Amino acid sequence: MQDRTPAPVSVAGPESIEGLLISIRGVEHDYVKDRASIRALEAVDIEVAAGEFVVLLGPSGCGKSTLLLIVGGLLAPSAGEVTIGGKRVTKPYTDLGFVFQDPALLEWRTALRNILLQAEVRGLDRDAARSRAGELMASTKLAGFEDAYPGELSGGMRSRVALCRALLHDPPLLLMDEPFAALDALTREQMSIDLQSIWLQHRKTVLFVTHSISEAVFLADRIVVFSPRPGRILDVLQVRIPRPRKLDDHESPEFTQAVGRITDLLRSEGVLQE
Amino acid sequence: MNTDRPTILGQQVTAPRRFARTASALQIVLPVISLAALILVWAAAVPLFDIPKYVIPSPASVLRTMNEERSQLISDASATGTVAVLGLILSVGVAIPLGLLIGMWRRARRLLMPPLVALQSLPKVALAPLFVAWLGFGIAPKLIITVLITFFPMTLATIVGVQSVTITTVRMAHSMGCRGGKFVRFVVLPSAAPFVSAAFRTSATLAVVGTLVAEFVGSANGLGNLLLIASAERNTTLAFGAILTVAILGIAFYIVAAVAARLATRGLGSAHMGSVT
Repeated sequence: MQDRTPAPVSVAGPESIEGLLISIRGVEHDYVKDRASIRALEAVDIEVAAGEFVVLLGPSGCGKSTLLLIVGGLLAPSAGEVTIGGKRVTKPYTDLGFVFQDPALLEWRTALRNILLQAEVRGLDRDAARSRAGELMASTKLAGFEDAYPGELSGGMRSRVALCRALLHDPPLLLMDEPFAALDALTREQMSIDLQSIWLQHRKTVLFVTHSISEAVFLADRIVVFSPRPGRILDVLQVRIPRPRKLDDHESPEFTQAVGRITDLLRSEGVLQE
Repeated sequence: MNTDRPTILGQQVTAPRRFARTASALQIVLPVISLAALILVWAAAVPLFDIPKYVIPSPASVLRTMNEERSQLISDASATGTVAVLGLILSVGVAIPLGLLIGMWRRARRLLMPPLVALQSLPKVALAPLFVAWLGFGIAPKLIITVLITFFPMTLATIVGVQSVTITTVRMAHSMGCRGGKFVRFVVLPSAAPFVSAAFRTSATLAVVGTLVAEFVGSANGLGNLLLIASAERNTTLAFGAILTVAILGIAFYIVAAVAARLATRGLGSAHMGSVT
């Protein structure tokens, strides 16, 4: 697995190795719909250590995607603040890779050129970016689809192109909003394994949104479980399964125990009913 | 890139095929058939209904007159064509920045849309004498009228193109630091290009109309001026010749505009979206 992981392109400063500390303090979010103010997010406090893999888990519409946008500086919180590496986020934070729920590919660019957009916009070295893109495409099983347009790719392939684009510049921070949602179950497992190995190599700080319990347990150092809207933190779980985690770990007692605990939490909130 | 390309459901994955190229023979034959039919009906109707020459001349006599007056027609056509081309270029220069401004800033839309719609609703023929009165018989009033007649479709298309960019695409770009000029270059212009290119072809034919309108009102040359003189002299045959020349000029404009639009769209990298021909 390790040897398929692409070598990093040296792009950012020294921070890129250590990841970044994220601090979310008292962040709330309200939005207006039909002239009524709706609370999407209750006051949320989360500290993410540099190089930590934190998963935000919760039912649809609980505001976890909103929180990710706020952390990335793409949406202003109604209250509270986010700091990354000690600096308050007030505008789009760019020293990161952002994977959105919708792959947001540019329809007029081929798969390869969609990935290279990251390098073009940032003015990175062309040849280095190109070879890195090639490696990323190979490791996400996109080799051979360099010249295909997004309209010709399957949903899963489009998601993987978006993932490659977010990783191209080897950012110290990854914000991922259900990046594997459009993938089939098998590819999804594989992507989780690959993401883990990328993370183990480069120790990026990762905030990962999902509503898959097993994906959360497999990937996370810590899982923040959200209630239904308005989203508030129900609990924070530490996952202590040693890494690199393997597919077989899904059957380990620690794994089933963690899944059980989250299931109970969500059941108590009425998210899961029997 | 690779020779043995992967397949999806047994189909080779290649760049999208353009169907336009395969139909090239039909592309030429069909318009020729429709034009020939039109001329045939015209040629048959004149003797059949015994239409006098000063009402509708026969195609043969029009062609004869066009041949006799060809130096006049060519010089007037080039005068009209020059104004139309310059006006169209100017119009693109006005319409695209204006459309970007209105499309990207809600305040600009509130501020500028009402006067633009008002201006578009006015018949430009009614404005033409004013511009001639203000600016004289030179090229300036003609250019202004041509711009006024042609800029609106392209402005609107640019606005629609800008608004076709989804919120996630905007966020994706912003998270890379792609803002301002870079955002326009990498995201907005390629998104808008297919829309603008379709509107540009409409505007290209309108440019000829615009210049003619201006020449009707006040000009010492051009096909509009010739048409006016020929009608005043009851020289219907020459008037028909001028009209036919206008039509040819219009077709030429459309073809050149379509090619130019396609090249520009390809240059922006969004060619394969603009399969509207």
